[in-house]
Amino acid sequence: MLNFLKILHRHKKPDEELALQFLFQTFRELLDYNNQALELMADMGEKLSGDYLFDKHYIETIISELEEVVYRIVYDLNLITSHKYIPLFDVFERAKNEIQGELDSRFTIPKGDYVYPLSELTKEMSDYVGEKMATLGELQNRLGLKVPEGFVISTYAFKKFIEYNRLEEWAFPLGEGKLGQDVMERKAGELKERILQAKIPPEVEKAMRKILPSWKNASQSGWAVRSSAVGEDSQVSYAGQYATVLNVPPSQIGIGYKQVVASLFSPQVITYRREKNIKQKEMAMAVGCTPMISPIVSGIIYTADPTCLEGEEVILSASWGLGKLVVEGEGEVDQYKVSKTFPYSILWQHIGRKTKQYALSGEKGLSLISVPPDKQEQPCLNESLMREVVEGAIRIEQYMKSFQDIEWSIDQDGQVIYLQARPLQFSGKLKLDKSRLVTKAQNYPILLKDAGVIASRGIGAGTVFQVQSEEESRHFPRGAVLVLKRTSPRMSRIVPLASAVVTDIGAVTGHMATICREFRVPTIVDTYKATQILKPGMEVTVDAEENVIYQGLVKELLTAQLIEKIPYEETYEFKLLRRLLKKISTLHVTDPQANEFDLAHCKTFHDIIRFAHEMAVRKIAQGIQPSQLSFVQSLTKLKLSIPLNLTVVDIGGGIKEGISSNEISLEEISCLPLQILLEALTAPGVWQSQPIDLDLKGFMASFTSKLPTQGLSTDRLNVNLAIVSREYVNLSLNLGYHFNMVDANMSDDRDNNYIYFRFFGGVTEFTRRTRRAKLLAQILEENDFAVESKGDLIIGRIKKIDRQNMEGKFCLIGRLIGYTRQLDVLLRSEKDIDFFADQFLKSERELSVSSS
Amino acid sequence: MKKDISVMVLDDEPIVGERLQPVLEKEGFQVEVFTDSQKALKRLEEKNFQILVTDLKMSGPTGMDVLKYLKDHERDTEAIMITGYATIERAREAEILNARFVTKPFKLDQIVKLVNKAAKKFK
Repeated sequence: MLNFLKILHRHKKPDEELALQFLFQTFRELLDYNNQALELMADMGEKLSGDYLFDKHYIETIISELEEVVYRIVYDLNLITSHKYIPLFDVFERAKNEIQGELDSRFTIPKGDYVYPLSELTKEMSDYVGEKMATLGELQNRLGLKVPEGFVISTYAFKKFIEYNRLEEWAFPLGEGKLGQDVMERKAGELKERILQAKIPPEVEKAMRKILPSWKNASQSGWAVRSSAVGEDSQVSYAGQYATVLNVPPSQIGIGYKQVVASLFSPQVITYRREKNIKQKEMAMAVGCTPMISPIVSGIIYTADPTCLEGEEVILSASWGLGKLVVEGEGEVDQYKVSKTFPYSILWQHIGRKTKQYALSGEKGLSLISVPPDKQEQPCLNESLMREVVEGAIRIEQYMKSFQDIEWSIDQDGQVIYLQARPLQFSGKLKLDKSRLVTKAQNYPILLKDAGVIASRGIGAGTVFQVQSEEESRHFPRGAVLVLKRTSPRMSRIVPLASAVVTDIGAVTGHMATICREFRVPTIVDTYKATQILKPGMEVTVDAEENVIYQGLVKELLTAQLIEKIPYEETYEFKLLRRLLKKISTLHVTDPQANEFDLAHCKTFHDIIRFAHEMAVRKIAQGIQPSQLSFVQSLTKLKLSIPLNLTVVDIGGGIKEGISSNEISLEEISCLPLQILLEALTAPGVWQSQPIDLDLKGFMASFTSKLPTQGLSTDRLNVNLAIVSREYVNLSLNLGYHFNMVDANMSDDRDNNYIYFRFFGGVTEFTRRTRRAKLLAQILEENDFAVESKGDLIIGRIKKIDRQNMEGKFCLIGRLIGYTRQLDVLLRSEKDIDFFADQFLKSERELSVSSS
Repeated sequence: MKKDISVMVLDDEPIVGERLQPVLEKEGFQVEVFTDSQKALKRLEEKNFQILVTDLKMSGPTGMDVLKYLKDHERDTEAIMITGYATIERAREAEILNARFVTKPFKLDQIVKLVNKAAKKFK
């Protein structure tokens, strides 16, 4: 840390003394590093798609590259802002240390809290709270289904427990699975005894004591203490392998905890791991604690018949009271086959003679009691409750993208509660004929084929919902297909709710694409025309395996993907990379307009990159101080047909070689973005130069006619400046009272392309100037810019579009600057905004027709 | 028939074998996975594999040592060398020993294509 502070100080000069070239070169460098960092993150995200094979060496290498690049970003930001953001180095160091901690640890259980309430859990927290509890959290928090209340004692608490009691030397060899059967059984027995005798670390005890009173009603009654091991209930079920302790008083949750933890190392589990060839070295157990409920009915539902997966039915069994009887298959129960299609009619049923049921016994544990004779042959579910159970189960299946085995109960209030959901285990020999299913899909009408790029694989179906604003995103219905003009980090929030995502514009490497992969939401980006073809309310199936979008719900494809197993998600490297990427890419500073967009909220590398980028752009956007100009040795003037008084500063390849004159023409500029923009601005009729008190008719005539632009007064115009390289332009146009700033880059690599356009000012009162800002916003949004406005200030941004599109956008900006230059004067009412916007857009369309 | 073609996958990172085995088996190959190059060499003494997919840098005998063994014993094994430590010299060396060279990380498809290509020799 000290070293780089010293280096920085060597560069320390007052802001106004920074030479322009240096400022802009550093800015360009920062942008390059910014792109590199995003590419590296995208590369890591891509590796999680399942298509790649990578090892720990890859992870270490890419992390080290990323650290280097992020460091440079922080360094460059401080160079161009006179060291305004030195504390960002501390943020960098902290983030780096945390990442290194993950990489170095033999025990890769992530550091987190000791306990988590179930209401805070989601699926991606499985490393913290085990699969079972993470899934329950997901059902509640993302699917809106009712699950038990309670909390989880985390895997991190487990790690502390093992370390506190110095049990590693027993635990690790068992986890590695290399011991002979006899030795293993002896060691497992010893470890179990030690665990039962062990002490829960004081900090974990404290956390448990603190969270328990959250359930006041349950604090006196019994609790269920359940296993939630890492990997349990995933593609390998461990069904029935771990201990569950039911109906324990709150004071004995600690004892229950140790029993459940001990079951992680039982000889059966170690043998099971060996038989299933589970090579993951570490074992970790989180433990779920939920207040016991006393249900009226409980049961199990399979969302497919495990002997015939293609069937269109679910299998359901139910009995009175607690679910133990159904789970363990003791005694007769009610059994049903129910159609998977609404209204879920019963296809077959067998009402068992249910003589016994499990109930909570007074103080502790469960007891088997007799069912009253009149209820023994009565079905324990009515049709409406059954429908509710089935409907929820099908939602879980669609969301989890695999057939499910689900435990459920009906509580005393008649509400359906889902207790557990895991992938349905079926015979490995049972294979669906995928090619036949895919062939059937071809009977459906195709809306789009190979129109874009797959950003996240999978198949999803639902009703199209187009979102164009943040406000609309609040109404996004769960399970719909999200259709957007462009990918946007702001839409990431609704990604987990979507069954699929399709965009007109966007890149596989973008932040939103990363989120889509993280949540396994099938995504196709860059289709150019999704918003035109996928109309709101349409039912569609997005096949992001084959890059096809079908009209209608293609059940065959949806079924085919439910049996895809993804064991790579269970590998150590995959989990490590996923965890690291989460640590790196989580974004806490998203909205530059929000109060939280500050240093204090930067925690991750992604935060640093985002924050530094924004601050660097703002620095450049402030424009050039007159005093800075004195540092430019030779200023070159650009000869134009309009009175722009434009000075060009070349920072590398922006002016054609061999030009030594101090006055150059547009043809001698090799910075293409500037050339295109100025050609558009100086085209006949664009530079509005008539007296501003014209009536409307006269004005429109002037706009469309080919007026000569010579002979105009230039004395009102200030010095304007363009900083250029071959691909980059930073243009500050100070046109009387109108201030335009364009910062942009255009290359063949779309990932490096962007335009930042800022406009403010005007000669009229604030209202009219604000109207012009609205007009600009309307035109820019219509042309795919993301727009922010505040009063008469407007900022339009667009990025990651291909070169051809970029050229169009530069033309647009050029014409827009000319068109709106003095337009505020004519915006006498709000209605005029639409009028002039339409007028401009119409002429744009005409231009694009004539040019094509 | 592919099932008559045996493939040895050798890499001291278990994930390589874990991921390649199911993919290659799905393609119809017989696959044996090794994480210990010493054991792999021993197995090569007993059995002639048509295709070898091996890591370069391993503790004990390296991928290059295994290639040399195959050359010295005049095996017609088609070799594919995978590594995260790519250098031109290594690539050239592998070429001399008649192996294809792939750097990690790679797309699983890429290896499948290479193995299928190598298998054509034995059909």
